[in-house]
Amino acid sequence: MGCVSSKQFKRAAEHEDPAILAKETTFSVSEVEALYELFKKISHSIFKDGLIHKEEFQLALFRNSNKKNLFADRIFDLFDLKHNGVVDFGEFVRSLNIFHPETPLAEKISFAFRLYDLRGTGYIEREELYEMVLAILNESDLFLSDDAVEQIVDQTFKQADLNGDGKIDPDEWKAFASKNPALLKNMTLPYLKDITMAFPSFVLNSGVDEEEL
Amino acid sequence: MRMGKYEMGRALGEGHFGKVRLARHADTGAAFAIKILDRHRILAMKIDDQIKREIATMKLLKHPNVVRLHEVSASKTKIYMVLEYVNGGELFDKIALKGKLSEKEGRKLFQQLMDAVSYCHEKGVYHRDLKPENVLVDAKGNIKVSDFGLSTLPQNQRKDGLLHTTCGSPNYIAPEVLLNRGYDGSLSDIWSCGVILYVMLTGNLPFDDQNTVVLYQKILKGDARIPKWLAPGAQDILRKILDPNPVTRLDMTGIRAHDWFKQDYTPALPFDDDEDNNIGDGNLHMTEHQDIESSPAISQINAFQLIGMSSCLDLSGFFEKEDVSERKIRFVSNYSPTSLFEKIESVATEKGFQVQKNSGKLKVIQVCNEPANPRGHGTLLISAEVFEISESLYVVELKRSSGDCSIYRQLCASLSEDLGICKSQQLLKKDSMKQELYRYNSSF
Repeated sequence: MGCVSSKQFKRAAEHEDPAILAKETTFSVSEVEALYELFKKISHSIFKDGLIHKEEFQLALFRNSNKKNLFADRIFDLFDLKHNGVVDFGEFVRSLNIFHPETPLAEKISFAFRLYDLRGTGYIEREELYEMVLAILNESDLFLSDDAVEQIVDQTFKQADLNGDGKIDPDEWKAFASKNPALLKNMTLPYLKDITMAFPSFVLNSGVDEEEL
Repeated sequence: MRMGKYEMGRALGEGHFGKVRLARHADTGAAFAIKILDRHRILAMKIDDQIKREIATMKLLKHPNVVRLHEVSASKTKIYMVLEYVNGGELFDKIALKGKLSEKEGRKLFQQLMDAVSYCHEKGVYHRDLKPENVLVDAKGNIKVSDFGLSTLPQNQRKDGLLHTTCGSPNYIAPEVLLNRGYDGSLSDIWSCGVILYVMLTGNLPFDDQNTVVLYQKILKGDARIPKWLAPGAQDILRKILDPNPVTRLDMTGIRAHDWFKQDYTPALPFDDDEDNNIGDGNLHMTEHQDIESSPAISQINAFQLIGMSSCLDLSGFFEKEDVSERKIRFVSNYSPTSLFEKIESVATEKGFQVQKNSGKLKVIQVCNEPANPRGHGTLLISAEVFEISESLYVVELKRSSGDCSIYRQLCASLSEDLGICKSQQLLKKDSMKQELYRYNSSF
């Protein structure tokens, strides 16, 4: 943990120094301080313990604290870098950093791979892809015949599984995603460019020195 | 001197709370104006809530004729507001230099001014301090209104110009504001715009006097001397805007419908999310209706793109007040893309929307001239996109950037009913899918 420079961060000493988080991410110090305002709001919505629990995460995203959904769970698990069932401020900033418009593509590609590798085997398998397609269709009330689903999965595997071993490895994924940038559309949040204006309270709480800006 | 990514330059001006400096972005070299506010002073004057409100307000304003707030930064002692830099100077100086503007130029600038003011009113933002010093002109001769959202902060009044005979003189203030009886922010801004129009076309103030009390009386009476040498249309619109009775004063709809105003008028379209990347490209002009000769391009989507459409992978919920379903609706259709776009266009135009083709999407626009209300009214902006899933099977996505949610839902319901795969087909498929999903879930 870094030293705590900001008044607002002193209240929760376990939170990392915004200057350190800014050095490690695409965010500026002010953007990190603005993200703290968002973090406070989410982490105090149910449990009020300065950590984001799965229910709080889902309440913030979906206005529903117990949404049972494959992707909702996956996203939370990927934010929970320490795998301890909660997301602290450092994890929140580092995870959101992936979604910053200026974050290098390689990081977005890697995050998307981990998201779609449901079983954590280091590969995206055909069954996983099939399950994810069924999940999105069910969630969106978009109904396709079994044949149509098979066709989409087959077609995608034909394009991505270059060595034909029935699974997509990280290199194949990287090549496929680089060729199809639309795959990573949901890996960028334009809102993060405006974060300082979305949560302006930080301007009156900032504990950052001029030279840290 | 440096502030984050910005290299600070010369002072552009000084206000009540600090300086405004010219700055350059260290990476891109782009110029910005940075307003530096003294935090201690703000806290001492107990206007901290107001500052937060003003920043949140300015964030909403993304229009080619409104000075844009790009970001905010802060330290223990200062607050920095990074604003769009407008290098053409104030409208004030332009008029002072020329004496008065030609009718054609005056009308063009007035149209842009009304576009800016109308857009802000739709967002529920009123200026309350419109005057030529707050209206900037860029290098291309286009108007940029500044200090929208910051209007309630005390301003330093200029003492050195043609249009100000006394410091802080209320030449541009509407009579109902002077009476201090509570007023409609929209109509009082329109009055100020009328005074600005008068000044542009004549080079003089419609109401002026060394004595503030006499000046107040003139404004309250509203008997502006409108020169006979002005074109009849210009005389008429000025008379109707400079009506001291706000109830009978010409409102935004009336101004837009006025023959003099409509001449050579191309409304500027607000920047939406897609256009945000092209901020420097000037006004986005929109015609009443553009025929779709060739439909926007259709992209075939693979399984991962389909998965990427999941609302559960959309983290915008952290930043939006409303649920994703209020902003994004999809349905499956067997219609060809050409038929889909034609049908969307015909339904939209039938309902009085404007339609525009833009970078592979169809944009449906409903310009609303009424002020915003808490339900999110204002200009409705919807983009329609079609994705091919397989041969003769398409997903239609209708995304709302702004405007009334209920109108959006009605339009979506109407389109999905007409164009979507019929419900009986869907229900059969849903049952088989649920079984499939159950089978897969239980195997993990």
